[in-house]
Amino acid sequence: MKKVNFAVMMFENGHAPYLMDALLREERANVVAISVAPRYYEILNLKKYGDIPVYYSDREMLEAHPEIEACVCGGANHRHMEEFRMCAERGIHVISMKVPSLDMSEYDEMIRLSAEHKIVCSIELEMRWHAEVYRLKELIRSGALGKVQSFNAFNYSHFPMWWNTWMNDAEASYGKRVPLWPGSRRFRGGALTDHPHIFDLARFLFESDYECVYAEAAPSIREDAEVEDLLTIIGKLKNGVVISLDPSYANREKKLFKRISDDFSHYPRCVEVECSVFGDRACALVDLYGSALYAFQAKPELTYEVWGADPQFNDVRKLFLRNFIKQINGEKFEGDMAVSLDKYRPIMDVVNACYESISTGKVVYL
Amino acid sequence: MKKITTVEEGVKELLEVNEIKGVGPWRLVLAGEGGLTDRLEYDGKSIPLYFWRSDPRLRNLACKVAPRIGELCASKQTCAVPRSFGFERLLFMELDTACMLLSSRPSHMVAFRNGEAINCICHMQNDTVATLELTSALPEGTRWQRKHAIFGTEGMGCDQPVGRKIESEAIYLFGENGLDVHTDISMFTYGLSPLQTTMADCIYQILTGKIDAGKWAEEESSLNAWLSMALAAVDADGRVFARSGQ
Repeated sequence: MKKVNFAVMMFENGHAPYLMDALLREERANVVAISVAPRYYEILNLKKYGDIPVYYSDREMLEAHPEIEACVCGGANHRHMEEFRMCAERGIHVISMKVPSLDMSEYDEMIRLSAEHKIVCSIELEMRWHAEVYRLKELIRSGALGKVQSFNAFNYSHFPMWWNTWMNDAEASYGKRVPLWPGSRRFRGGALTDHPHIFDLARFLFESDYECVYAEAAPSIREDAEVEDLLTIIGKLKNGVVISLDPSYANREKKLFKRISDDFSHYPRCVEVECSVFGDRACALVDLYGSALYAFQAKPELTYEVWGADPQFNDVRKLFLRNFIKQINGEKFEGDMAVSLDKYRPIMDVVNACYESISTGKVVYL
Repeated sequence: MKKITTVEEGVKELLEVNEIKGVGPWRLVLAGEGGLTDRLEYDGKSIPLYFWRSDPRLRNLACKVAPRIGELCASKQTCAVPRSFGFERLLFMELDTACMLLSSRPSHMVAFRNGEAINCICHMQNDTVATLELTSALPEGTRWQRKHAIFGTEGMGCDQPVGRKIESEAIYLFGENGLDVHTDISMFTYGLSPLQTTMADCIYQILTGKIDAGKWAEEESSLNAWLSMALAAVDADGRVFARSGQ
């Protein structure tokens, strides 16, 4: 069995370490090098990866390791275009984070480059790995809810701004500094940028594109946030289903500057993804992220935490990687665990439409 | 334990156990089709019953939690009720609840409707934002499902425990006929549902002067105006804002 040579770039995206760990578990992957953004080697304690060569420049890494065949582009969002181009021009297949780019000219350039250089690009969307999503889709399709009238979902999480400081930097997160509305002291690039999952879910569950959206940003719950952390979106899909989507950083976090473990929840949970589907025959109230346990500790500080389940029994991240490797090799594979660049483009469009709505105060039609 | 079977009996019991005397005749008039509130006829007046304001969970969110979580930022209200309750009535109730939770009044709204489902963003005059996700399409006999959360700069609160999706019951009975649930929340209205108990308590508070019924009657025109505003937003299908004149 031939192994595929992987590299991981920059480690700024919060999911990059998880993908790295999964790559090390995947028998068909061989991690040959990693690059690391300034500070991240220490912040993430990457010395645990032992002898794997570490670089502080993507370009140096790629030049030193022409054997690299596939790469996780794990830099901050504003690096993605450059990372993608470096990979594509070398024929290196790409695993992209959930926001390839919100600059649609960059996005289209990525699509063009992937076609020109015939590379595979899969977008890491963890909500596509939850069995609950597929059960819900089956229930909707079966007619158990009757004609669906509305779909409401929230994807709450902590805001990683303390240990991933780039996420509170509009230029690094959104790609440029754009006020939420004229005169606003807050900028695009916060929770809306970081949580496209529920936008993807609505489209995936109902197989319908967005007709229109209206969005408002509420006052920030964090005084240190320069990007939006609390917002709400309503609108319609083209099939008539009314939507309400809430991608807020509604859950507080500890102000940790070094991510040693996943011990960053404050209250009430680290991540919550729930939805309700209201049909004319039934309504479904759904937990898409599982709730497994709660924990209280008295020292060193009073802490109450509720943990979502590590969502699946199987190592889904590893299976996602295996499917990606099979795709590279032209092998058949089961499951719909990844989304291609072109199929995902409408999601970036709707995120941008929400920003436009926040800015103009108007409903935006897609 | 004495079993109460109607809201009226519950009110009578509350008056008796609290030894309240001298309350004149009163009558509960249920909202007919198209009606927005049940009403209490008492002392020559017809008083709108905003019974949800007596819901201890909402009251605690508004009065105990909200003052402790810094500057208020937003609320999120997800409610599903049976079809017979009515779409407009639900919207009326939740708009008022938003005002209660965010201590403000609507400034403008955008809403989308599909059948009995409506999603509405209500921007308040204090710049907080309420999101309403409502449906009145539940099958008859289904227990109301409601979840209200508020978010502030120093914390948040919710009337359901974290991780929970549905209204909690006190007793879950797993028997041969499947699941049966019981939720009795008051010794003195034992037998009534939580909703009926809330209603009985609301009437009791009015009859004993603990609620300013005159003020509630005065507020009716504002509430009606906000409902009209939301319905205008629905009719506009998101194309225009409905702005408050109130």
